[in-house]
Parts: sequence; C-alpha cells; structure tokens
Amino acid sequence: MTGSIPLLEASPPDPTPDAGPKYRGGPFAYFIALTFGLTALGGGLLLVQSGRPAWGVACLVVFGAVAARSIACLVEHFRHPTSLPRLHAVLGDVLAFRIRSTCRDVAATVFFDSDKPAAGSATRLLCFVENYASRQRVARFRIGPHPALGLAAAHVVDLHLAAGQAAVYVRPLSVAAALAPGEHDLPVTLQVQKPTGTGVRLPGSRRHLYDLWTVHFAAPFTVSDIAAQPSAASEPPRFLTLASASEKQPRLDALQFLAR
Amino acid sequence: MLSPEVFHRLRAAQLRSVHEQELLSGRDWILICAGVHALAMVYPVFLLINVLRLHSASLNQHLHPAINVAFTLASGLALLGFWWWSRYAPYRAALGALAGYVALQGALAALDPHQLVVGATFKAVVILGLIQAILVSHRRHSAQ
Repeated sequence: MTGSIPLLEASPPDPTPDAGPKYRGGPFAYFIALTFGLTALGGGLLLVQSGRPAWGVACLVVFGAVAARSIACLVEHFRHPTSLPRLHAVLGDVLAFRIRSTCRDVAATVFFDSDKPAAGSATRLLCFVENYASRQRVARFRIGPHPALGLAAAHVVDLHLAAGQAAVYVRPLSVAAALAPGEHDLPVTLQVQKPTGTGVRLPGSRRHLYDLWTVHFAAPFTVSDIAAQPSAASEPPRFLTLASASEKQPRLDALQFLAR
Repeated sequence: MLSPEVFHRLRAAQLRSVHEQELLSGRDWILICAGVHALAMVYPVFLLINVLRLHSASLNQHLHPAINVAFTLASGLALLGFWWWSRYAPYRAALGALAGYVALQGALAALDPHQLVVGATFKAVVILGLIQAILVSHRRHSAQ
C-alpha cells in the first residue's frame, strides 16, 4: 500500500498470478557476481599474503556476500520453469501505438481524447498501460498540476497491473472557459513499483525497448477558439482492463465508450 | 467491435503525444550539451587561475587563458540561450545551437589550432548531442 493514495484495480479484475523468478538474473547479475567474486578472492588473498589475515577475511566476507547474493539470483532464474503466459501486446501491436520505452517493464502512453477541445468543454485524459513482466506492478501516475483543467494540485493515482495485463485509466477533465486558445501541455509523470519482485519479460513483449525508472509525458491539447456550451466532466474516472494474459483475446470492446 | 474511425483517432492523438514527448527530449539534449560543456570549462578556468593567481607561465603559449575562457563561456551561454528558445522553435533552436557552437569553437581553433585537440572528447559529445537534438526536433518539424 502506498500511504493515502488509492490503489485502483482494473475492471474486470485480472486473475493472472505472478510467475517466473523473483529476480531477473540478467547480465547485470552476471557482472556483479563476477566483479565482486573476483574482488573477494583476489583482495582476500592479497591481504592474507601481506600479513593482514583479519582484513583478508573481512574482504572475503563483505565482497563475497554480494557475489553470493547475485549468484543466488542467477540460480533462482535458472531453476524456474520457462512456461510463461504469452503477452497480447495490445499497445504496440493491436492498437499500433508508438511505444519508445518502458518504465520498469510497463509500457505506457498518455494523451487526450479529444485533443482539440473548445474552451469550457469537457475532454478525457487516457493513460494506457501494459505490464510486460511476469510479476505484478503498481504504476503511479502523477497528473498535473494544471489549474485550467481543474487540477490545482497534482492528481496522484496508483494502478495495479497483473502480469501481462493491459489497461486504460480514463480521467475526465473540464477545460476552463478562460483558457486562452492555442497549444497547451499537461505534465504527467509515471513511476512503477515492483511489490512482488522483478520477474522476467513475458513472451511476445519487445525486448529492445529502453527501460526507465521514471517517464515524463507532456500530453498536448489545442484549445480552439470556437465557442462551446460550458460542460463539466460528469463521468467518473475509470480503470478498464483491455487484455489479460490468462485470456485468449484482448477485450477491445472496453473502449466502446470512446465511440461518439 | 471498435470502428476504424476510433482507432484512427486514437492513433493520431497518441502520435501527437509522442511527438510532444520527443520535443521535450530534443530540449533535454541541448541542456545536456550545456552541462557537458560546463564540465569542459573546468580546464580553461584552471589554467586562468593558474596564470592570474599563482603567476605561473601559461601552459599554452599561443593563447591567453582568458580568451579561451571567454570563448568557452560564450559557447555555454549560447547553448543555454538556444535551450530557452527551443521551447518556442525547437528545430530552429537546435540548428542554431549547433551552428553557434561550431562557429565559436571554429573561431577559437582559428586563433589557436591546439584548441581543437584540447577537450576533443567533450566537443565530440556536445556536437553529437546537438545533432541528436536536431534529429529529434526535425521529426516533429516534418510531421507538421
């Protein structure tokens, strides 16, 4: 749990359980195991040879512990079976969105629908997310602040994502009638937590994407100078499942509300 | 089933958002270049302090360290200026940043060719970063 910030479960809930090793055991684990293992052995032997056995043992214990931890991660990685559910790749393949990077294995994109609202009208912010990992993630979106969209302070929301789950968070917003026509940006920041470990990338996910710790978005919208009837964002925020690794097909019908 | 019109609308809005994110990335490249350039400024400033405060002979006989520091400072300020401008005209700002940087460093090299070698790694990183800023902002520029 993350303090007072609500943790939202997508509707319908995704029952896909965590799978795969808790630690990834990738190239970084090999690097740490080799570096610290060699340092422990070499440093320890040198210190013992130079007549400082206590320092030698200390070196062996400290650096050896780090190496042993990395080796344990690698062993866990190889002991796990490789039968993992396949990802639907909704964002990159089905919806054909352009995804340049992931945030701790979560692909995300943020934009407005409509992105050309009139001043005083309502619009929606869509936050599409897809978990490429074999273990659950919590995606924290910090939306705003943007007083002209009714966000005097940043709106923070935590979205729970099961392994392989794709979902969309819909946040209705009202454009202030006094907002000047032209181009505007809504700043959105994404950070991802790994409550049950890292896991591995699911089959079907793209492996060559940059994996970042924090991703900053600037959702653009153009306020037109056409007069509109003032309307408040009446619908509540929604968090909808678009695909589950446990199901054969994605649930794109969940996006029906976008049809006008 | 969703209509193709909805798909098309979503993709267009998402593509616009990606371009906006790339625009931020292009601005970031110019700022990173300014930061790298600030690191490259350490050695000329060290030389200047050495000459002015410790009254030692300049390590570089061809050019007074003050001139080197002045050019380096001007390049850094120009990069910061172009970074500020890139908020309004990212493509032209990135082009201007590269042109300005190359012109100032070229003028410095014309005074003392030895300066091309000093800090060559930093210069290469800055130029590559500015080329990246141009490529990023060009994608948005051509999409418009």
